Amino acid sequence: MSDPVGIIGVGQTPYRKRNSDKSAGELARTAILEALSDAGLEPDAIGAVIGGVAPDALSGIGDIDKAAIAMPGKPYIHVNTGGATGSSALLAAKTWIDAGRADVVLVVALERMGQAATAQSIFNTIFDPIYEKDFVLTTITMAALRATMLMNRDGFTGEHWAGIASRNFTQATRNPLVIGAKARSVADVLASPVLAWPIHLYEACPISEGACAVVVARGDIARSRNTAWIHGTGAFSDTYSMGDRMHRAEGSLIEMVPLRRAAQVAYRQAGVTDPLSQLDLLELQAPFAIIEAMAYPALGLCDIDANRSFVDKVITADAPIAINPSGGAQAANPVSATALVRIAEAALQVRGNAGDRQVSDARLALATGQGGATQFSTVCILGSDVP
Amino acid sequence: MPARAATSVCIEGYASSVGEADARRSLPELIFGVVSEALRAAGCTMNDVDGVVIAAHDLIDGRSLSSMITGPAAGAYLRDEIRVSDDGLVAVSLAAARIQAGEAGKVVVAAWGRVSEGDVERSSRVAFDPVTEQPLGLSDRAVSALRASAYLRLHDCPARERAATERRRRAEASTQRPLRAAPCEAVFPLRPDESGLPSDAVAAVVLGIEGPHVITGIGHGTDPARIGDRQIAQFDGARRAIADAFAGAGRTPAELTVAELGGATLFDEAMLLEAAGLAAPGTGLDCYADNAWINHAGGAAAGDCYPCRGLLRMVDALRHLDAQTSRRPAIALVAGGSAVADQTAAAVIIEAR
Repeated sequence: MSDPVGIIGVGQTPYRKRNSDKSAGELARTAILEALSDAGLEPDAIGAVIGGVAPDALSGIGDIDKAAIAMPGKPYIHVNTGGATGSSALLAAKTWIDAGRADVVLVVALERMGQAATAQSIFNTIFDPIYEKDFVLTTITMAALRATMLMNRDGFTGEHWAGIASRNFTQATRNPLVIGAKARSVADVLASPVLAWPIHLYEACPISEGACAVVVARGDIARSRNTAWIHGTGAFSDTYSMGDRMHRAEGSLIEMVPLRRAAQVAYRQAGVTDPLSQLDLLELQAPFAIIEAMAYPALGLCDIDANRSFVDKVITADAPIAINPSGGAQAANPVSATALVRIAEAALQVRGNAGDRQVSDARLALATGQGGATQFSTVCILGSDVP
Repeated sequence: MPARAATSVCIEGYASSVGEADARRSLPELIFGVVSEALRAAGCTMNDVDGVVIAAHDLIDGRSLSSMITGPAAGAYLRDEIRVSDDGLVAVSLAAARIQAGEAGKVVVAAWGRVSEGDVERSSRVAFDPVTEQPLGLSDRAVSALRASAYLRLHDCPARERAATERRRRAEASTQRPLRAAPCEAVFPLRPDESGLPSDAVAAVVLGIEGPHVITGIGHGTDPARIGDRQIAQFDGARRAIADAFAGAGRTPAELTVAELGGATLFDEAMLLEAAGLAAPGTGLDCYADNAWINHAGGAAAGDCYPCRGLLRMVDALRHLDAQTSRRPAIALVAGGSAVADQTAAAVIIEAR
């Protein structure tokens, strides 16, 4: 059995719409120095650096990570899996350590989308120009289509999506890294403009910039520190076209097949057989309330046919699990970094370092990463105890 | 630390395609064809494969998130897939790590670039600093020219013509070379026959734990980001990557029977020879001209497109190793660089047993 691996340091910048007064390098440096300080390590201790920036066009500068993140003399890899980039980079770091390539790996994910005036148009070109553009398929309408499928299938209403969003916004007010966080009621959410029916403005993620860094280590370095141990990981990729996800034996568009499979692999590694009772909290990379709702059955928290009643419990705080104590991706969604932020927040929780957003006695946490209109999915389970 | 495989990582199958614009075939079709060929060569199907590691770049593919449409063509459907926006050799390194870590038994690695759709030169320009570098008109091609200029200032290069002629001869003899493509526009002091041959390129390998080609060493290196901070006439990042690959394999440059250096131009390839310890400073062009086992297929002159370059050279090396049937062990070095202008580098030692 390989030496257990864990997160020994976390660093994050505040997340805001735009950082006009800071360069990409300054954002990355802020997160890196904080993570190294948290880990009690100097840069010399780092064996490799894995950076995450995606999509390549979003920041307006190509390969922006090479100047902002890569360190001369250290092996460097640029990971790009869309919104899952940060978690994919974390998984690559674990791979690197388990392969014996290094004892300590620095993972840094950086988002500068506020510098580009064209963020939404860049996202919109992820869909096929011939088969899907005529449907005006965008990241927002893609979510709207799934919301209407669920409303038609299970009787969900707009109040359900607004309820999830309201809870996330309220919880974000306890997270000092979400700049401009503001509690919003269900009525506030429903009164916000409709982006694409039934998705309201406040059910969608904002444009966010920022950087997140974590230090991953094994062996005595990890054992001698307050470490968030990696208990299980999984990653799966789906097919491209939305139409191909509609009717298939593996599961429909609303079933999040790759997330379900990634969770199954991670649960097997972590010995999780009843996630609802064994996990203490979830950090979900769900940029829309509807995407969060779809994640619940995919993660085995409820049966897909019982999802609406589970969402009811989530909204009334009767679900026996903490969900997005940080406010989640709906409060701040720095695309390249957002999946690493979820892991960083989960790590802070199981290390007992989450400040005002700390979940009481959090010992086992799950973080998801999803990118490319949920084509790419990752799951990472972190715990306080050595696996 | 240098990577020496605790679990032997082998190359079970390989394939590549280097061509010119063909509007009849989409990029996913090109990828599917080459990955299928690599799987056939490995004697397996995607059902036997645990994961896929891709090297591709959004700006070159002209899609905001390239691997969404291209990943399934590389076999990623409902599998563990990860993409690097780096050279194909980086993907090989990460895929090998997955096997070494015990996460996978068989991994497909695929890389591509299609110059007939994506403007590689334009994409490279936007990667330079918009304030201090872009106004100078820097691009990957311009940096290669700056390197050649600095090299020519430092060294007499009497073998320049001979090396270019020999490189062209090797490329023309290559069965993989596209027939009608023309070299890219040369930037002074580079000449057209010292440049690469921009192509629509796809390469794939299947990594596993069995097979005649064993990866025995892997190394990585990183230069400073800013061109002004680098030693322009040498590849320090590549030097570190190659040294670590040799150390991991327990081999020396003198033991090589194959060398495939993934440079964009003849001068880049010659400077990489020097970084590898195969030639003394200033003698890279002589070494290139005198040794047919170095970039035996003509390197970038036989077809080139970032970020496929390193994996193309790896497939060239594997073909060459398979041709050296009388030499065992036959040992190959493959090196390749990633954005920006080879700032990061990877190197692999492969042994045919």
